[in-house]
Amino acid sequence: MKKISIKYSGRILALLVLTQFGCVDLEEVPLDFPGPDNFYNSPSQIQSAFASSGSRLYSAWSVYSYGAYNAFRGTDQLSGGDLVLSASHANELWSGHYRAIADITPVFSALANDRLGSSATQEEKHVLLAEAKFLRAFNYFCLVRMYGPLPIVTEETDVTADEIKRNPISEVYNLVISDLMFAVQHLPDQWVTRLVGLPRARPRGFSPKHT
Amino acid sequence: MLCIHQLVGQTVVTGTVSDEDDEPLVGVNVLLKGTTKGTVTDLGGLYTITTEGPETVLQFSYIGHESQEEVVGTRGQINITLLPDAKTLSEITVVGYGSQRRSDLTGAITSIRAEEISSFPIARVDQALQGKSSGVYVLNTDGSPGGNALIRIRGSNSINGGNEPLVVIDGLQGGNLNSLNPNDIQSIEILKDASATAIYGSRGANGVILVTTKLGREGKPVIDAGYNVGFQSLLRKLPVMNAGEYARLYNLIRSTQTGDGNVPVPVFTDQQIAGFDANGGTDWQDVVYEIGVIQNAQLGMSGGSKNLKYLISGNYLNHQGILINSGYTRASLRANLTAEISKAVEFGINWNFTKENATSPSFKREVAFVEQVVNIAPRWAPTEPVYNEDGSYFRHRSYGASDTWNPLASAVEPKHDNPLSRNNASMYLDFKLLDGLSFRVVGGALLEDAFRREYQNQKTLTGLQNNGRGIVSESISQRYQNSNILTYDKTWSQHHFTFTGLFEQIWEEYEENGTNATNFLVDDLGYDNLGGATSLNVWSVHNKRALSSYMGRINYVLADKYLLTASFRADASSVFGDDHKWGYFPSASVAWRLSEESFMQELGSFDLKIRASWGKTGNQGISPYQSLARLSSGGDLLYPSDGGTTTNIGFGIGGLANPDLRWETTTQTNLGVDLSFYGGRLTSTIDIYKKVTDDLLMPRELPGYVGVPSVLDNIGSVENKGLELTVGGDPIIGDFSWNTSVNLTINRNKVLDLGADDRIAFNTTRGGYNLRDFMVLQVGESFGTMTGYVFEGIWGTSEAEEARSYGQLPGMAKYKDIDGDGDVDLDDRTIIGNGYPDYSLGWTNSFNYKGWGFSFMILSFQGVDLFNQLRIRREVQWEGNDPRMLNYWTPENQNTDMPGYLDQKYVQDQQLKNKYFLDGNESSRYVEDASFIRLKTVQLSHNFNQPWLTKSGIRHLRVFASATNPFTITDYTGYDPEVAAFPENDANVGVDFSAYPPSKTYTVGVEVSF
Repeated sequence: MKKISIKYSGRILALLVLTQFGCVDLEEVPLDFPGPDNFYNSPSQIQSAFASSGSRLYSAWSVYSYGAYNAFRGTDQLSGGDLVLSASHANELWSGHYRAIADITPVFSALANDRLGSSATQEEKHVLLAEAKFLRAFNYFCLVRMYGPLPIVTEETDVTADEIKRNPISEVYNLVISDLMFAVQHLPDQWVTRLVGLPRARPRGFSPKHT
Repeated sequence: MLCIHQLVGQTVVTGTVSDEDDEPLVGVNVLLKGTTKGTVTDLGGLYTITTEGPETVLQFSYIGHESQEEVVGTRGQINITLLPDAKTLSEITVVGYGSQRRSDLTGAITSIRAEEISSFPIARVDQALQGKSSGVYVLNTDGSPGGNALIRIRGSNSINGGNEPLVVIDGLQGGNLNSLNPNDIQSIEILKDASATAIYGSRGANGVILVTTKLGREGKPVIDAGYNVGFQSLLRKLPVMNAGEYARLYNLIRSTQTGDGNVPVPVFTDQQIAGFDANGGTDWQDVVYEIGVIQNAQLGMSGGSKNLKYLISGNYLNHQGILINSGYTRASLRANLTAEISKAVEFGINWNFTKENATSPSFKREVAFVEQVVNIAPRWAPTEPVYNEDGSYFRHRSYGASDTWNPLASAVEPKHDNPLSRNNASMYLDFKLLDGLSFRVVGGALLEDAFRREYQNQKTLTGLQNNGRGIVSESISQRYQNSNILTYDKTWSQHHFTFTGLFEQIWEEYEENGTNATNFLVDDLGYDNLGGATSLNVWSVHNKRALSSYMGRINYVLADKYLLTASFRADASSVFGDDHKWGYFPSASVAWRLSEESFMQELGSFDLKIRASWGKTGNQGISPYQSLARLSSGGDLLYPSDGGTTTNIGFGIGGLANPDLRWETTTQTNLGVDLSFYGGRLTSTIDIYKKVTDDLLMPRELPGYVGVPSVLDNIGSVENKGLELTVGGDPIIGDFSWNTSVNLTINRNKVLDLGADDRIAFNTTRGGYNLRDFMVLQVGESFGTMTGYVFEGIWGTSEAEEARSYGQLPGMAKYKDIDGDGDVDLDDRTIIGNGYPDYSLGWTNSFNYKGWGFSFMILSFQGVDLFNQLRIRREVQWEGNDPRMLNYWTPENQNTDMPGYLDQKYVQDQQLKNKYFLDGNESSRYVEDASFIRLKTVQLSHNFNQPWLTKSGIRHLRVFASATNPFTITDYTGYDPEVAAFPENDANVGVDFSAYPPSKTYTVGVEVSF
């Protein structure tokens, strides 16, 4: 074997230098989907969160969903119910509504941090916040009437922490009412051009009735 | 001819050099000993050399053979026979990032030589591995042209991380075995234990398959050519009633439908039945299955000089499958080159280009089974014709498997075109620095461009429902690898020491976009005219991943007796959470060549090595970005969702972040013994091992209020333990020789931990078979565990009272009430079978007599169950066509497993209180013993050795005839016992549901070398 010579050491050094330039980047930056940190930056992005939230309810309640049908089977709501229910009875509607809530929750912190900036006027931002509050109130209203005490998940809740307890019914209604009051104040009477929207009449129809 | 100048005293000596088969050896070095003068034998093994005198010694040497010396004396002609180097232990074995002598190995490695792969005509390399190595389980899950087999080394470890072994081709990781031309393979090494695989930390947990491709040899160029053609047919047809039997049975069944005051009308008239008896009806399997043809043509050239070695190889494969309209073609070209640029620098490049096209539909799970031909062909009634009178395809009328489409239409009408181009290139520069120190830089690329084009016209069900449906998509997949290897090898007195250091980086990127179009105005043009479609759904995908690694390994051999290997590898993968990207994988192994000890020498000449190893390997086989929170959009998040004219795209929460996501780690311990007697004529290897995989990546269920059903987390643990035994040798050598080898694999898999659950269940189909999740992963049990109800036969007339207590009558199916609570419900489910074999065996034999060769391989799996899912619909009383149904229960025929057809009014009048609350069809009725012994391959060949051949320049001519799967012994009643339908989830192995059946093939071929 030859001893190393100047000629070769030069070449080797060059190659060693070259290999270091190819260093790969181990940090992941998703290319084909957004994360909550880089979304909710425009009014239409926020509205897509509302669309998804509505869509979750369609999946949970629609005709071909086993969720809605199974929830009332065996109870006194359908004829022939024998009130023999399993521990996981009606859990599809529970998760369905909470999925709808989970889609709206990031919108609150996005609006609170004013991610929209100058892409919307103050009034438009209030309208979006009002829509979000209405949807949240609607979901909690449905949930509390079916299940009673609920874990309340808002933008400040840490869902990865230990299990959240079920809050009493009165606290749930407080949230529903305060959300609906805001919605009543800020939603327009009628939508002019948009096809998805919640006229003021709807939240009015909900509050303050509760049993 | 030759003109030789002679000096005084010199003589000219000539002769031929052949090997032990009397084949001339080309390129043998003939040296005048003590000088640098010499020559090389030519194509006929002939040499001519001028000697210095009678004392001259001629040295004959040739790679792989023992050298010989001859004193010239007074001879003018000296013919030599060179014997192969009998010491298999000095054979070089390829290990990760280097090579070692077989005698120095401390790990569990199986080597498969080129001849074992290329002497038998195979289209796919993965099938060639079957039965060749203990510890390797190859399951033909997909017999379709261009399909892939399931390969598992030492059991399944992972649930979501993938269980595919790592394939390394010429140092490049991540290649595809089936893209290789089998004729290009020099050797395959299978690395099984931790000390062998820990040097490939990432995915090494599943074992490593190292492939080395061929290179030319020094000498005149050799041209290889070959051609073979094979004919394939369906191994076994499923039995179906003939039309007359079917018609009569259905009339009988219809006549029992008297419930609720119904007056039944027969399905078939007597006239129709007479017609069926006369013409027999339609045999649907004959309609869609045909004789398939496989053709394989090979042409290559290799050779080299002292400083340059090359190999060029081209191959064309055309495989028309046994199912109509299924096929696969592959054209490949390879150029391998190594060059010694100078005494200290070597350069090599291996480049392989393939162009493939699969024209078969996918037979995997995503195809709706209503149009999946393998599924529906054996289900259609023999009383239904293929075409209507007007030539259009027949559709069900009032009976039959109503939710399925005409099998011939489903096979022939869809158009599939999937061209795929692969470019695999690997290059290296090897520097010899100091004495014993060398540095190699490797760069490689795996590039794949794939198109997928599919059109269902209006004669198919999907096409009819959507006014034609076309899917067109393209994808580009790139993978680049750079490895930098520093090796230091030093031998001094009794010590042999090797150090290997590595820095490696791998970068991958995948992009895809596609269109799913429906509502075509012109059905004939199909996907070539997407502009004529009015509804389009488009999508795009883009992701990247990266891997960075450092490794160090030490090999130490003392006195050729005491061996030590230790390695440490650190890998970082981009797919894990920020603080957990790095995984650390150490390993160590020792071996003792007991036979070299002085106290063992008296026992005779044999080799005995004892080895032990321990190590950790990792798995990162999940998709990228799983540790990050994600928003998803897509069809089910549109609003309004009822497909109305206004739709708004929804973006909802798709997944939560899990910054703690990290490597799955497998810890493996292995003990092994290698034995060799009679100079290698009898060899044996025994290994026992235990592997525990921890931190399994699995979905952890989250409480409902989180809004996301689960998050991927490292919970769960699986164990694999086993025994591998290989015995082989040459019991007879000489003019007639016999070589044999048996390998036995026993693997026991057990789920140790599933996080908070002790059971996770999977289902195999979404609907139509009424199966609840019955394939389970359960703590304490193995993968492939089937759960369900226990079927006990049919209630007999003597059991009428007990039957009534369950709300059943004699003639109805009987299920076991395991907990004895008076009913059969969810609590009465138990384990009803397991889809993995208790043991598997491969036995290979080859016989040679003067140029004639005969070889065969037998493969056997024992103790394996299959859930024959197709039977659920084939035996059901409103559409089944299995002849078993003719053996139905009656009071006179009670010894049967088929329920009787009881009059419905009579049943209603009994006022039974049903206590059978079975939630689905998952019962032991459909679980069958799928153990088999199969003659897998058999071949007869002849090597021509006539002198007239060598005169015309042909150095090798071989013809052969062979058969694959000609004969099987099994009790299994489905298409094939070697099938598993859902390879994407190892927990589901054991379900037979419409996988493309493997076939019987008869091939003839010829090989010639110039």
